[in-house]
Amino acid sequence: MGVASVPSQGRPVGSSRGQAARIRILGVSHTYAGRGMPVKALENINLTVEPGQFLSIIGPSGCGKSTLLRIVAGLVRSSDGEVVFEVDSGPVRELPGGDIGFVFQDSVLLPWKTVWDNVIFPLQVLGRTGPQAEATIRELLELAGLRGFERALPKELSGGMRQRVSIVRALAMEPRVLLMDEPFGALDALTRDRLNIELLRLWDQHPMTILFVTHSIEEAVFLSDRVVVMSPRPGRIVEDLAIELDRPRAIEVRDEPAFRKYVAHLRGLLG
Amino acid sequence: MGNAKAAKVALHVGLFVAFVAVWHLYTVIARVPAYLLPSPLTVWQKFLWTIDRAQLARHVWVTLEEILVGVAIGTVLGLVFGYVLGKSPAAERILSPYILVAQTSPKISFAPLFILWFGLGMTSKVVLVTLVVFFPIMVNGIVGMRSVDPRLYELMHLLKASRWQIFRALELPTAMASFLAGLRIAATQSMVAAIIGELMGAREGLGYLLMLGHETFDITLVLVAVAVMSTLGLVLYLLVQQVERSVLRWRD
Ligand SMILES: Nc1ncnc2c1ncn2[C@@H]1O[C@H](COP(=O)(O)OP(=O)(O)OP(=O)(O)O)[C@@H](O)[C@H]1O
Ligand SMILES: [Mg+2]
Repeated sequence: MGVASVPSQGRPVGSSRGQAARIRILGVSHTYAGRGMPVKALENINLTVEPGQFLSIIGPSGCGKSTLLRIVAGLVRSSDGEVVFEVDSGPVRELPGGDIGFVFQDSVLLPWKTVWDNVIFPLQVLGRTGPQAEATIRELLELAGLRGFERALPKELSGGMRQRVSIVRALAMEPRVLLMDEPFGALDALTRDRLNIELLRLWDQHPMTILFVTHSIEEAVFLSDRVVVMSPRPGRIVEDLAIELDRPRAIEVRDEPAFRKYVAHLRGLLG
Repeated sequence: MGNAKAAKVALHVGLFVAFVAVWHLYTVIARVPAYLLPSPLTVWQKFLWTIDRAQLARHVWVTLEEILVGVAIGTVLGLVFGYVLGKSPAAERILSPYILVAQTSPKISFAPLFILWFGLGMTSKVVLVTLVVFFPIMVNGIVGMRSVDPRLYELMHLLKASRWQIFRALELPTAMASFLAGLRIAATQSMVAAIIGELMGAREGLGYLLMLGHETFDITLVLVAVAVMSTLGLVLYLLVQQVERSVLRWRD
């Protein structure tokens, strides 16, 4: 607001902490051993997500979307294939701590810490606190509409506000990769719309590679550069659709014929 | 608010005064002999006498020290075992039958053994208190460790947090609620353990005073000891409750 800014030409792909990462998912399959019958959740997933790209994954329930996200995060070891991250220094199998942010379906906060302490917590663990980090957090809280709630405890917030805190916490680390598993699934449509806009604005200012899982086709098209559709279990990629709508996008973009065409196409694939 | 609180205090003071008055009137009207039930005034005088001539403060301090040292050791041991068993379900499965037996057995019954092994001094009571405190702290520690949200563990994993960081920032605060509930049980039981230990054989402490009153048919001394112990127990309980309130402010 204060500083006159030149309208950005295309998307910058570097944050203050270095470049967003390219994600290469190479022949990933996964089978859960489980009790009794093994469950084949993913089959030969190949996907390259470009640095700074916003990619959404949609698909029927139980097709392995969460599993794929957890494999990319390194929380689950895939039974086959591998995930490689390409950063400025070259390809790596594992990113350093704090380079991957994860947002769950509902907020996961430390209930005994205030909003501010929750958000700064990862930076404390990483040993990256300081005036600059605090300035970033202040800006993010402002953008997420949480100003004035810094000293509030999670129990004093609404569900939507708590989820915004979770998102701000993930963004405050300025991760190279942000993984979001139905982050707005539990919210009402109105809040969801607002948070979609906010997320795009935050992403615009803190570029990172985003993998976004959702059940809403409209949400996927609205947010993404690319939408990937998965088949029922075992999940395979059945469509990889580039969304070529201008940015920045406003809610009204949903009424445009181009938008409706993307949605109709994807709905046909899932129907 | 202030008025309501003042009214509450006044009510309790009033009830206490009424209780003492009824007690006093009963001993006077029914002419109860003093060796069965002395009047409150007699007990009060005995109380002052005990402070002055029988080193009451010394006895209180001995019992309190047994409790505090025993609670400290029992808590540390209980937390260490609780952490290890909470972290390792396999170890807990193997040990759980023994834990169950140890938990359900009346640990107080070890008192004569401990007197035999550790003597009439404070050590035998400290060991008894430690034993009594250890189990609720350990069991509640395990429960606390298990109640950590697995997704928080995953977030810590993404931060490549160290074991110590995970303990400090996640496991300790999560387990705190259940730990303090254990401590509340432990505080009450530690008092009982110290007194029973002293009753079984001691030369100092409130339990010793109680025993002395019993053996010399001095019921007034018994009542003084009982009153002091009750007060001490209440103070310990309120202390833990206060800690609980201030530490767990974040809960609903
Ligand atoms: N920890 C686990 N152990 C065993 N099986 C699992 C485990 N997690 C998931 N599965 C199975 O793997 C399959 C894929 O699960 P996953 O959670 O990845 O699906 P999803 O696409 O995220 O579904 P949803 O849209 O409902 O969230 C499901 O059939 C599920 O039952
Ligand atoms: Mg899922």
